Amino acid sequence: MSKWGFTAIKTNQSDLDLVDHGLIATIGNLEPSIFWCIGCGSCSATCTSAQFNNFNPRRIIHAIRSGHVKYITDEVDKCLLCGKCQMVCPRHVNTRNIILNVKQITGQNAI
Amino acid sequence: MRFDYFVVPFCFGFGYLIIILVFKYGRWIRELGEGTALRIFKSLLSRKTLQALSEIFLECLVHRKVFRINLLLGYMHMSLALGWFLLIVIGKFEASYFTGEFTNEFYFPIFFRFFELNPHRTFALQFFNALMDLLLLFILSGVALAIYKRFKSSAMGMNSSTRHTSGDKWALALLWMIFPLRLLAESLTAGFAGNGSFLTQPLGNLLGMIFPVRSLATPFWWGYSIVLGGFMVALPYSRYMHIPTEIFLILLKNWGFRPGESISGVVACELYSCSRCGICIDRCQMDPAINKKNQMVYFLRELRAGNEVTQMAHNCLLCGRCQEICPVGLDLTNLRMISRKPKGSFHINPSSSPSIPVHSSTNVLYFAGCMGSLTPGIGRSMEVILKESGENYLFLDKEKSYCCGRPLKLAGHMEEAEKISQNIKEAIVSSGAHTLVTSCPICYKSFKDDYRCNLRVLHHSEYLLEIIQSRLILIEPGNQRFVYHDPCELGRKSGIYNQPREILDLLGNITNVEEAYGKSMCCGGSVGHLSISMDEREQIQKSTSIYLNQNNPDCIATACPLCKKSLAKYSESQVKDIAELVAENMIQSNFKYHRTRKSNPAKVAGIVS
Repeated sequence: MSKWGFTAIKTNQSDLDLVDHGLIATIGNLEPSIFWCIGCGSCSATCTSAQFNNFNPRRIIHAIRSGHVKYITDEVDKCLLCGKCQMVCPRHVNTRNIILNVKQITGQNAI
Repeated sequence: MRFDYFVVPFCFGFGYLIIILVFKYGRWIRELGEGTALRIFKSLLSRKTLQALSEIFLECLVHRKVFRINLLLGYMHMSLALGWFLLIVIGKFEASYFTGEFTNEFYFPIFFRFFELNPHRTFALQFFNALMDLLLLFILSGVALAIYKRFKSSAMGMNSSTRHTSGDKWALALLWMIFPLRLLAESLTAGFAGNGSFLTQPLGNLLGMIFPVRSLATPFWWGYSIVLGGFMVALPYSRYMHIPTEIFLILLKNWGFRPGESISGVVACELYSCSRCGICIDRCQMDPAINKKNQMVYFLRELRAGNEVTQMAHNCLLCGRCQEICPVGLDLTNLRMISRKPKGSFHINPSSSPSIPVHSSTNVLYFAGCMGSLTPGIGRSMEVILKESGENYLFLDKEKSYCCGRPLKLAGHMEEAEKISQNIKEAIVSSGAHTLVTSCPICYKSFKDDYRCNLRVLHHSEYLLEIIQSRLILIEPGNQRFVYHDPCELGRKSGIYNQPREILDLLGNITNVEEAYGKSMCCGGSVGHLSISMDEREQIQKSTSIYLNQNNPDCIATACPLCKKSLAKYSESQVKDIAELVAENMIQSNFKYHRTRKSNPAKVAGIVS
C-alpha cells in the first residue's frame, strides 16, 4: 500500500473484552456525575492547561471508561484544578472532582 | 490551718487541670519554633500585652461579639463568664479582708462561708457578703437561660444549636450543677449560722423550717466540691477547654504569632479554643439536610478528636461566612484548607505551567484571570476604560489564560500552587509595571498574599475608583438602582467592601440588603468546593439570586467573574460587573464608544478589527 503513497491508519478502537471496569466503578462511586458525560468536549475547549499542552479532559473521561490506566496516570498531572471545565459542562459533570479523585487513587497506587 | 476533708475533690481537680494545661501549652509553645521564648519575652512587657488583656476582658468575659449577634445570648454568656470570674476575684478579696492577710489557703475563698460561720457585723463585710450573693444570682440567671436555650434556642437568635457528644453533655451537666449546689450549701449553712446575705439568708431560714440544716450542710459542701473538681477534670477533654485556651490564643495572636499550615502551635491552640457554641451552624449555606453535621463546629470537633476528616474538609465552599461570625475569631477557612492535604503523591507536570512571554515594558498590568476568560465582557470593558484613561497598560492574559494557582491551594496543594505561580511571578516582574490590576478576586487574593511581588496589587474596583477620583476617566451619573453583591474572596478574605460601593454611588443608587458586607451570601460558584454536586450548587445559586432580587433592583452589581456567572443563571434583573457598569457610563473623549456601543463593544476595544 505504501507504494501508492498511502499508509494504513493505526487502529483507534478499544477491545471491549479487555476493558478494565475497575476504575470507572471506583470513580463512579466517588463522583457519580461521570456517567452523565456525553463527550461534547466543552471541557477540553475551555481548559486552562490545554492551551499549553495536549491535556484533554474529555479524553480522560473516555479513558476512565475504557480503563486506560497508564494514559490517565501520565495525563492527570497536567490539571490545574481551576474548575472551568465544570462551569461550562452542559451535563453538569464535575470533571474537576473526577480528576482529583483519579489523582488521589493513582497516587496511592490503589489500582 | 482551716481544713475539712470535703475540699479534697476540689484540690484534686484543680491540681489535675493545672498539670494538663502546663503540659499542653508547653507543647504548643515548643511547636511554635525557634526563638519563641525570646519573642514572647520581648513582647511580654510591651503594649501588645495590654491590648491582649483588654481583648481578653472584652471577648472572653464580656463576650462582646456574642452581644452583637443576640442580646439575650450575650447576656447568658456574660453572666456565666464575667459572673464566675468576679465571684472568684471578689471572693478572694473578701477572704483576704476578713483574715487581714493576702495569702491564705487557695481553697479558703471558695468555701469561705463554710469556714467562717460568724454573722458579719461590720459594714464592709456585709457589703462583700451582699455582693457575693448578687454575683451568684447573676450567674444563676445565666444558668437558667442556658437551660432554657437547650429547649428553645430560637429564643436567642439561633435556629439550630450544636448536637453535643455525651462527654460534652456530662461536662455541661457538671457546670450547671456547680452554682445551684453552691447556693444550697451556702443557704443551709446560713440557716443555722446566720452568715448569709439577701439571697442565701432567707432561703436558709426557709430551709431551716423544714430540714435539719446543721446536718445537711456538710453533704452539700461535699457535693459542691465534687462537682467543681469533676468539672475541672472533665474540662481538658470537653468543649470547656476553650475557657483557658481562648485567653492563651488571644495572647499569642497579640504577640504576633499567626496560624501556620500544619496542625500544631497556634492552629492546635485554635482547635482547642472552639467553644462549640454553634453560632456558625446557621451561617452555613450548604444544605443542612444533606450535609448533616458537617458545619465548622462538627468539623473542628472531629479534627480535635484526631478522626479522619478529609471528606469533611473537602465538603465546604470556603466562603468564610462562619469565620466572619465566629465569636472566638478563629481562622476557620485556614483550618479547612490545611486539612485538605492530599493523600497520595501529587505533582504538577511542568509543561502545564508555561513561561509567559512579555515583550514590552509597561506601567499597568491587567490580569483578567481564567474565570475572566469565561466572562469576556469584563476584560473588554477594562480595555475600553484603560484606553480611555490613557494609561500605558498590558493585558497579560488576553490571548491565553493562566492559572494563578489559588484553586490548587484551595484544594490543599500548597507546594504545587507555589510551583505554577513561578512563571506568572516572573512575567509580572519582567514587565516592569508598578501596578497590577486584576478583575478576579481569587487571583487578587493570591497575588496580594502569596506572590509577594514588589508592586502595587489592586483589584479592578480599587483601580477604577482611583482613576475616577483622579479624573482620568469621567463618569456620567445615572439613576439606576443597584444591589451590590460582595464576593467572598474580595470582601471577607481581602477586606474590600467600600471601593465598589463608592463607584456605584457615583453611577446610581445602592439599595441595601441585610446580608451584605461580611455577612454577604456565597453565590454558589465557589472554586473552593471540589465535590459538590451541581444540584446543590444550583440550589445555593438560586437562593442567593432570589435573595438579592428581593427589592427588584434594576441591576445586581458584583466585582467577581465567578459571582457574575453564578448569579446570572437565576437572577431576574441583570447581573453586571463593576467594570462593565463603569464602561457603560463613561463619558468618552471622542464619543466613539457611545456611537458603536450597541453594535459591538469588542470592535471599539480593538479586540476585533
